[in-house]
Amino acid sequence: MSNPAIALRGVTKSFGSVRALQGVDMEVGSDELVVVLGPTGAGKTTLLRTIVGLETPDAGSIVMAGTDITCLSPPARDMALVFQNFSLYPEWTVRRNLEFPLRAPGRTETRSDIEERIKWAADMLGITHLLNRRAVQLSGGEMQRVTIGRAIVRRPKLFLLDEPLTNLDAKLRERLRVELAVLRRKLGTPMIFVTHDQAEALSMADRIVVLSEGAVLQTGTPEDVYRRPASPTVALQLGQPAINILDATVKDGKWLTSAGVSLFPADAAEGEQARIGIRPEDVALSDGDSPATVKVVENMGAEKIILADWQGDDIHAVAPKSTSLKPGDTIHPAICPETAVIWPGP
Amino acid sequence: MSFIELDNLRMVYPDGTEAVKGSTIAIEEGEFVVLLGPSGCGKTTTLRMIAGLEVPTAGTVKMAGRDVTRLSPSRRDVGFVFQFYALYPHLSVRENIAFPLRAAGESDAAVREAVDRVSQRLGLGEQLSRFPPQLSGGDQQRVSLARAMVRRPAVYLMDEPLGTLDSDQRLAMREFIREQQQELKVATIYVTHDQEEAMSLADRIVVMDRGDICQVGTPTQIYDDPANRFVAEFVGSPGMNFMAGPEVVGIRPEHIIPADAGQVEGTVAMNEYMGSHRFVHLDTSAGRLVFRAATGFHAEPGAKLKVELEEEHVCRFNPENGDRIR
Repeated sequence: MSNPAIALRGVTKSFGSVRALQGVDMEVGSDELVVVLGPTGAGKTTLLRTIVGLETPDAGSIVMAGTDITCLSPPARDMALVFQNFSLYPEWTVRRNLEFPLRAPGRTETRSDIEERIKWAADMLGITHLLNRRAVQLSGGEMQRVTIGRAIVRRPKLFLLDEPLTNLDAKLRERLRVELAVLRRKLGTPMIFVTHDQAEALSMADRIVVLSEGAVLQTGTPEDVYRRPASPTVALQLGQPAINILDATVKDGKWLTSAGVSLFPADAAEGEQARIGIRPEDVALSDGDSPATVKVVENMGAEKIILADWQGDDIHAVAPKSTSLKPGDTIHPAICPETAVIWPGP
Repeated sequence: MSFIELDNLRMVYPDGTEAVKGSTIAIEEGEFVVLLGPSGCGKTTTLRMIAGLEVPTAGTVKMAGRDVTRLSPSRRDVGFVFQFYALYPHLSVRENIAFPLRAAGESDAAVREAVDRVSQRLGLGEQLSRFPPQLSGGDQQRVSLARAMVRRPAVYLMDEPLGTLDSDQRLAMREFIREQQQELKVATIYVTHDQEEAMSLADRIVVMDRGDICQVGTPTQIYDDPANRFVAEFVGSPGMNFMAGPEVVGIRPEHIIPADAGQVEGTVAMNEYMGSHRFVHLDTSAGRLVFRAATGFHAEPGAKLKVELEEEHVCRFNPENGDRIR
């Protein structure tokens, strides 16, 4: 990437014997939203704290617009960090909460600058009518908007968001995820968004960084990471229901599962072993050779998810909402080779 | 007669807040019923009245034909799971799970066998000799579920039991709860604000809003045939789209189809990649429409697009009160 807004090179951080970050390399473009996706304990929060300057890396460097900032203090980095838990002053009005970061020591905004910034941020987030309300009187969604407002009034060089939607109702999360992505595009400021929610990662990201146990497993566009996951671990982090992963061996020119189900023609030598990943939406319900027995049918509204026993392997498939399949029924799963991911090795 | 009957159950708090405005629900033996709604809709208060943790202002709770409205929780034979695991920190995981069985006077051998079985199902086999403070949040939540489900009470009452878990753990636990419940055939009342959880778990869903029951039905009825605009919007991810007019026209994202000859024209505001599909956000003269498209469908923000609505899937609503027009 030419001239990234921020670049991490081999960033490593340990706490005692816990290696929280293990040589992390990542870049964020000047008008890019990068989502860091990983389960609890992957090192996501440590990564943000290190970028913003609350932690000092043991090794590696952080470069911002060409300047090494590894040892710079947090205020000098001019980044805004938004946490999962809204950190508003409950007794203060929304206006005063928004003003606060602009009145910090070292800020030079005039009274009218501050007025103008607050008006702009409140407009952008649709919270103008809340400006005179105290923070305790707000709903969860309103509070999260104000928290984000407090970050944008400063017009920082980089936004860092740590699971900002996690504590909200599902409906609100859905709406704010769209609002946030649109807002970021309007602001044109780079953003790093940390989450464990794969739907947020896929839908919001320009690029996804998949983090596990402090190491980057893969970086790519949502489509890259979803369709061409580098490993089963990455594949399992994206997609709901999870990708099917079957152990297979080449026999008579075809991939066979351990139970002897023939999947599709193999482009590998006889006896080779691999793990094969198949997304549930890529499993056809008929036309296959080996029958499977339906165990569970989950109604998801727009579609149904079928869990079936395929000669001893569990397999998830997606069926249209009109399906009449029920537990005990027989299906004949078929896999299209172009949609499958093959990871060679036992 | 149904197994559990709530008759015109009301709860008015001393400050005058009417948390539940008269709920009548009948739950059959072995049925899985989900109370679904946003925070403040009265779902948790309803559950607490069934549990005996709150005494209703009016109305009755019957279990197996017996009026239990004023009975203490311990005399109702209910198994609880809460969002916040109330585990005994000084007892090992094994003893926490065993607690309800010991309280019921089961033999040591029976307790051991039951605890081993449920903890294995939940992947807690290696945690049995540890203590709750040493466990992750997810494991504590699992122990709390195991403790409730080790026993076969008359009814399970669950209040957002998966609320604090990561999404991948949530899916696995959802399958566990459903399988366990189907095997034991214990009536279950489950409270959540997550419509996806409700759709996938429930035999029937009770949708609540501001203390009222909006609709009771199977997941398919609730999704395809919503009683009012609130249900149509709340259920579904994203919810139903609405177009203003003398009658509000509602249509689900999967029933809007891009078509050159479509009657509705708009500008693409945003395009969300979801892996197995896309959600395209379209700004039209009747408001924002979100539709579901194949991942191969490309429409960049700013592009003009025509779509058509699948007429047989259109729902109409009264613009005044949001009720369905049939």
